[in-house]
Amino acid sequence: MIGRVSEVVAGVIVGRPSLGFVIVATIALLWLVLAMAAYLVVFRAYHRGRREYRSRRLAAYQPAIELVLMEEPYPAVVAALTPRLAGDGDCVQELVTENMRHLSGPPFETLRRASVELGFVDDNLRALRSWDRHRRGHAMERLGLLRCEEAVPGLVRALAREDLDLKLVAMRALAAIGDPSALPAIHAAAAALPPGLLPRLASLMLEFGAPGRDAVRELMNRRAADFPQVSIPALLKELAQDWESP
Amino acid sequence: MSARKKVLVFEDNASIQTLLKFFFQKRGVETRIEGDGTEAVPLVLDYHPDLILMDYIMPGKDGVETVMDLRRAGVSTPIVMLTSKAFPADRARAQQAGVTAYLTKPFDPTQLEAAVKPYLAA
Repeated sequence: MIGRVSEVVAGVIVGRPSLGFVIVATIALLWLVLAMAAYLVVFRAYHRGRREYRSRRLAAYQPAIELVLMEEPYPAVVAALTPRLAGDGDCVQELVTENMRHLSGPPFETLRRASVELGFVDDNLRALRSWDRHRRGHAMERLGLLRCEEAVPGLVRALAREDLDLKLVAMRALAAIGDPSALPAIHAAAAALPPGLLPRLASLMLEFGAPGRDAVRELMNRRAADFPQVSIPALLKELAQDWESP
Repeated sequence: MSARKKVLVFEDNASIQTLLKFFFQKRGVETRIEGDGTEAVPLVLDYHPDLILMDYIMPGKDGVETVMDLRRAGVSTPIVMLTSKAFPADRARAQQAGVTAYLTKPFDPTQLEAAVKPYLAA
């Protein structure tokens, strides 16, 4: 047996594989291709099914948004948003935060109040400490959309320890919350940003209002050479607000 | 009996489409929603809306170019531009194109109502 195998291997090495080897190798390769194709089909079907299930669950809670816009009583809104099946909590959060992104005024406040009552804020605060990077990123984004001031310390810590992508998510969330106490940490995190991202950072800082404009001035003074030239006029226009007559 | 008012919305974001549909449905206004402004002129000339809601940024043709096309085609329907862009230069560009009113997102339904009410009054 070992001798036979040695003969086959020797034949392959010198470029003269035996017919038996070729047949076996071909069959093995065909099985491999079939197995990969089957895996892809199952993989795609699983993810398609998951997407469709998620869409159905999202659609089940859409009437709650209608209740908010129609200014229906708050208890009815909360009842409509309360997750009904295991796993629906994430769908409801996605629906609520996506709509909060586009709304302001009373509908925004209703959704925010319901989010607190349904425990979404606590869920996302816990998720800031998740081992899963994607969960941490989603949590940061949602806490920003929820304007959650309790999240500021956690987001500031994220600025110090996360990678560049999540740093930017944390900065956006802090800008959405608008607590000026976060500005020093954002300013410190700017040291790690490449020049191309500085205008974006400056735009986020401007969302803090007057304290943000001070921070942008300081940033532009410190890293004047790093700011792309095309971005400077628009930024200076924003900063000039402080010198316009009241 | 006065005819039901009609609004034509050009907005590509699905969540905002749903929000606007609910908003106008509550007010008894017939609403048609389109995701881009490429075919805006024939659509408007066919549908005869009482009001047009236009997003600033859309795939293909942006909102300001669409407004310019509509005004060039002789459409005088009031157009309210609903957008996240709040820079004065963008506002000026929109107004030069012929936009009637300009509202920034995220939108407060109360402010939106105040903006559209004059054009949908019976």
